[in-house]
Amino acid sequence: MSTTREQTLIENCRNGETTAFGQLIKIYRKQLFSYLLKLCGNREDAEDLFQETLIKSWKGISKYSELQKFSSWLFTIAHNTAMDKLRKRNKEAMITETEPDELSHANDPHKELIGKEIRNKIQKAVDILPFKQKEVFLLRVNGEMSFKEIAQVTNEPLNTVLSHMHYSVKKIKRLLWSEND
Amino acid sequence: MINDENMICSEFEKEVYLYLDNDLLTDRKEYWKQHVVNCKTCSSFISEVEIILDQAHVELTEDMFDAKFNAMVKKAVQKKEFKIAEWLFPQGTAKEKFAFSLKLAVVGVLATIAIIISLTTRQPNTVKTISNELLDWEGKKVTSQINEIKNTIDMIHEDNWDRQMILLDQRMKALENKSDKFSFN
Ligand SMILES: [Zn+2]
Repeated sequence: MSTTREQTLIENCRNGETTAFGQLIKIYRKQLFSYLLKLCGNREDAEDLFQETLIKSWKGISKYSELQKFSSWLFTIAHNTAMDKLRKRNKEAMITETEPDELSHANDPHKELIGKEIRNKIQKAVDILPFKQKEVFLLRVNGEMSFKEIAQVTNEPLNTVLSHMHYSVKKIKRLLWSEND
Repeated sequence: MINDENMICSEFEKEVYLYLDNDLLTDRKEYWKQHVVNCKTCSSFISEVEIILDQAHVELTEDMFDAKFNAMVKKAVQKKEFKIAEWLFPQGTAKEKFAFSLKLAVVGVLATIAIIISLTTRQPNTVKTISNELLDWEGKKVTSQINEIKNTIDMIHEDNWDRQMILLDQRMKALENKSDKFSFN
């Protein structure tokens, strides 16, 4: 499932080559870091989680099975690490399903949105998504996971995961384009 | 008819993600493929979803400095060994380091004060004093034990006193007789 280069790097990691580990993680560095940053909301926590993910993945690389995509395996570790930390901190506020006031951000519905503007709007919308919807959206976008994989990682039924995605996209869409369009 | 169409379209809204992931059975996938071609609502919906996913990916790509990343990798792969330097100067936030240094400084100051006090204060040689007292006490103890044994022996001997006296008397008489014999000679 992984590319040849990736497979070679994984094999070298298993043989204890530390430089191979750096090269392997670098492939997913941006995706992984931005996922953690978006999920926990601040850089310091994201860096701590990133570090912990690296430690766990280096320790566990011998147990990684090629039947799974490496990125999915890596994101699963990151996701579980983040969830553990959240549980420990008991940050109820982050997990509480708060309904955002997304429509307050909506501008002229007929205005054509391009490039940077769309991205800014998506960013704002993702920030205020309820936790579960944000989690699924980020695993799809940053983790490049399939919804079946997300269901496994989050330990939720596939239909629930699809429903979270459905609502998050719906909210983002509402923010980007008027519903009346 | 329109209602049926709406129902099909809202069905597609839910399945679109599996459709994009190629996680539908071939028949189902073909069905939606045909539907999207013929349905303006669903074809615009799928392109909107694709725009959101593509743009979100670009925007959510945050990064960190190479130096930071390399340091993190290094930390992740290093073997845990006991290092005296790390023990004395632990890794951590500036706040943690300051707290540790402060504790270390307090302990150092207290230890120095204790040493100075012990050096400047005149104190009797405790080892010698204890040793003499011990000897004195042990001496008294031994004497009393000897006396006790002596008394016991005396008491035992008292029981046979009469017998001893008779034997002594007999021996004295025998000696007297002997001396008499000598004097007659
Ligand atoms: Zn349709």
